[in-house]
Amino acid sequence: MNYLAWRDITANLMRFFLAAIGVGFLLTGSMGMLGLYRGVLHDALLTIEGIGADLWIVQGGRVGPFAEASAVSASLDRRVEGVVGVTSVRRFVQNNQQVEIDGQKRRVAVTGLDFPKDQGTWLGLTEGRLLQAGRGEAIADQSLGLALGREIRLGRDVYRVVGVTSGQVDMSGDGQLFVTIPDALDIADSRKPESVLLDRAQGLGTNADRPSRIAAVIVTTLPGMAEEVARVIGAWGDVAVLSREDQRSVLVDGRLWRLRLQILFFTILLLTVTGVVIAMTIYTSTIAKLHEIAMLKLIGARDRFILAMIFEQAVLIGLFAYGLALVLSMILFPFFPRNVVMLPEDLALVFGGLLVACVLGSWIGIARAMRVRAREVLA
Amino acid sequence: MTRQMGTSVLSLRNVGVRYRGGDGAMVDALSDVTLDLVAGEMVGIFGPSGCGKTTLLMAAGLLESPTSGTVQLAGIPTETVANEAALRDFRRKHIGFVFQKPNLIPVLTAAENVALALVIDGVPPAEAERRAITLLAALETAHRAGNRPATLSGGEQQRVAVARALANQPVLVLADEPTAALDSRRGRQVMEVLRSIARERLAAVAVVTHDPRSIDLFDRILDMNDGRIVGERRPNPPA
Repeated sequence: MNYLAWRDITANLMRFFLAAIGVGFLLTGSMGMLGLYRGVLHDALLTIEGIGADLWIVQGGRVGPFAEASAVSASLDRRVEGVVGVTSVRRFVQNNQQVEIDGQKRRVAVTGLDFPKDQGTWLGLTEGRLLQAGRGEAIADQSLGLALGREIRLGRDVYRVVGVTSGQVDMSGDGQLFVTIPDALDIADSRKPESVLLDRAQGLGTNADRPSRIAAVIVTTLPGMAEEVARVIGAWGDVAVLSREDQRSVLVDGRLWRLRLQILFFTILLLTVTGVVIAMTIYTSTIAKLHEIAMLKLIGARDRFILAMIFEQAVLIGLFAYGLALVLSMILFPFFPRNVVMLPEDLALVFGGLLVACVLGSWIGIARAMRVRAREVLA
Repeated sequence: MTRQMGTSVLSLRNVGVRYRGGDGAMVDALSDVTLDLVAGEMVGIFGPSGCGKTTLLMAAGLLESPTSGTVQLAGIPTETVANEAALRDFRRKHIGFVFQKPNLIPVLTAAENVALALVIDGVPPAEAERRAITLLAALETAHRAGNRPATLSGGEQQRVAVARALANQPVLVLADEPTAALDSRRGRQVMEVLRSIARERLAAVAVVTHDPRSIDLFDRILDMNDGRIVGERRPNPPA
């Protein structure tokens, strides 16, 4: 550590801490932006990764059900079951609804589990049990605020929470409520009696005659058979087949690319502001020390001694700010309404950006210091 | 360089410093100055404001390159010193400066201010501070070693500045109005310190001053006017 840098900091602790705290909050913002992006990505991919499907069979010509609306025939699962290489078939349906819980309106993503084939074993319950009945039971994400044993009315029926899970949200951050497929369809199709009467009067019939609300059929295959199964099913024409990778790509490179770009720009903006704050702090502190720098040159200090004095202060501000930002992130982010995921590589990225900001920020002060001449002591 | 009383320390030969003034006309700040300083002597440079005293000090201190003539310090012609960095190293090893204002670093204690000159020269900080305290003791300021400049009196600050100037055992000490901000008693004390440096450490000491109160302490007095040395007196020849 430069002899003078540390003493300058300890003699001006308030200035140092104020600068570091300001930079620390900016870094918290940068970490938050990246964490938010990772959180959105995590939430978007949660179902795709967790549900354990090799293939998604969706409406023909679509890339649903997450990026586009998709509806497939209600009997598609039975057709798919007959394809060689298929080991399991489940139907998938998900609808977002606004419901009132404890007097507050909340958005809920109602997701259908193809009970009894799928009881929700992949959900990672924190409390309670999996679905054991074909009707009237639900597994709720913690974020919905529905405790175990709680009953909730959705559509015309009441559902009892038998299990609680955590971190199960959809792409929008809405907590998921898992019910059986028939229950999910009922909830989606629930209408007022007047609406039913009007439909009957127009000869539109009952729910059974209405278009299917099954969004997709998800398939697992024998090892190495996924491509062949996809080729066979894809040839049917009325459906499209997406692999798990396809679904990831549709979301990450399609639906979320604007968000990614926007978050990237905001992060760059925040790091730029961080650099400006560091530069301003270092520059003003250098300006205040010009006479001393001239004196240092007069008594023979080499440029690298002066450079180290300025640069080390900038880096110390940066390091302190980074530590503060880490602590703030750990304290604050759990209270954010959306999932904020901090990955080591993102933290490393912010650290790298910070170092660049420190170098550029201190460079302005260093450039000014280098222009000082020893004889200015006599001025 | 071997230190012996009377050895040549600084030699200026026909040195001139010329620069362009605000109105575009060339100004001779120093003209044809020839001067020799030897180890163990303290020389006073007197003259009215603007006569070139400080420019002479800057040329002698390698802070101003002469436009004509040669400067030789410690037997080495300064024009052979390659660049600014080398010049700075050369200055650090051979010259100590004392100014009207002590120019101490406010965030450092008295000992640290003195030690700084040694640390810059590559001495480890702990050793540098030990040596700094020894120097301060020699200047009767060791009891203030842990104090920052703001808590020291003007005289104490100037003593610390003198200690800093001596840290690297320079052969030449240049002082520009070192007593101007001090009362007569403290001013006299500082001048006595400078004289003892010349005598005991066998350095050449040049003091630019307006102050006639300590005239008896100088070995030689150079009178300057219009950028030239116009006279030399010897109130107190070296013993």
